[in-house]
Amino acid sequence: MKERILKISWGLAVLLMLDLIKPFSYWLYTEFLFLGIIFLALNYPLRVSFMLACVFGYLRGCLSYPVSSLSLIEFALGVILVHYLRARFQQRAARIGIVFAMLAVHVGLNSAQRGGAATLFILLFFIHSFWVFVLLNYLFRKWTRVSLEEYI
Amino acid sequence: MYLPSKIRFKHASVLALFIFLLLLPFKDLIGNVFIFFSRQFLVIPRKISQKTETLKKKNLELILQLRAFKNLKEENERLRTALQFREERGADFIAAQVISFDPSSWRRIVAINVGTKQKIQPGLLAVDEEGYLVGKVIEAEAHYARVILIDDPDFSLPVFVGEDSFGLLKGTLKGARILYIENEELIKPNDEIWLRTPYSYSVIYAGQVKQVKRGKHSLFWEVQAKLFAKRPFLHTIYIVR
Repeated sequence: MKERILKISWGLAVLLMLDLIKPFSYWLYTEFLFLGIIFLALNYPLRVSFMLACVFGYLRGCLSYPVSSLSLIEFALGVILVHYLRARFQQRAARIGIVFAMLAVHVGLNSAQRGGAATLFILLFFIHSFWVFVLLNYLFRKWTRVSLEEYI
Repeated sequence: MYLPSKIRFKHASVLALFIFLLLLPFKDLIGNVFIFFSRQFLVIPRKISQKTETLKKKNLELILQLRAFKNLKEENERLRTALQFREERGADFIAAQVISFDPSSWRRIVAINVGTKQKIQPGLLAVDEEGYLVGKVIEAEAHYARVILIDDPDFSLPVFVGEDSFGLLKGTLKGARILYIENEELIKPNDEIWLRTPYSYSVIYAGQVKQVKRGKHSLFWEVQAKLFAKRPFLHTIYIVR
């Protein structure tokens, strides 16, 4: 378990770096760290995922301009919400719904904070984020050796 | 067995349609990545020589224009001296590398590797390598600064539209618009959106008018702007000092 926690921590650090350097500039509408937090919440126990979500939410907030605590609160509460939904809906298909729900919450919070966003932007954000999550989920599952019964 | 020869035509067409719809939201990204790599790796000698000829011709045209402008400048200076206007100077640019982006997709803010040591201060404009507006400096420390890009929702800048109108350029995440246009008759599609830098002759273009519209109960007209700056992969910007 310790090895898995260490690996996911490194993985989230890499995702935070990807968000900062944005290798595809603004042509890829997604936030890698947030997708990593969703993976973390879906595949790790509550205590571990809550702590890591708080740490990386705080780091992300510090690196934003202006410095904001929205990421810390959003990631922490998001992890709790995901665990609640996971306990409530056990089916595999429900987990895909949880991913979309988390994306919707993220879009709603950020759009409300910024005073709105273009419809096309939101639609592209959903589509790009979902497919990047599918890719990230596959890679992280292999790397952190999440078992077949556990993964989404 | 899923051999290609065993797949019926109707299944193949459905599969092709699915792949097309899957890739459709990523078309801008795929196009920019393809352009980036094709520029790096493809060498087409005939096109390069044609481009060289075109550039030589453009260079000559610019030399002739420069001579004409020099005469106009001297006349302008004589008139300014006569009318006692304040002194102006040419634009001074400093190249800056983009070192990081804001982690949020809802913000368009970048950090650059120049700061107050290079006389960067908040309010200075940023342009791309073609001289089109990309943003403005909002924060400057000793060795770095932050630039808000033109399509950030918090970006705003007074600009001129065409010859007779002016308004406030405001970012939206997919582009920009101009607010507080009083008279729609002074503006037509494809009019240029521009501004002047303080203390210099330089005119900086931001884009052109795409569409003019007004809400039902709104006092002012709103202009949808088409931005000139393309910035497929943002690496270097130029700060106008």
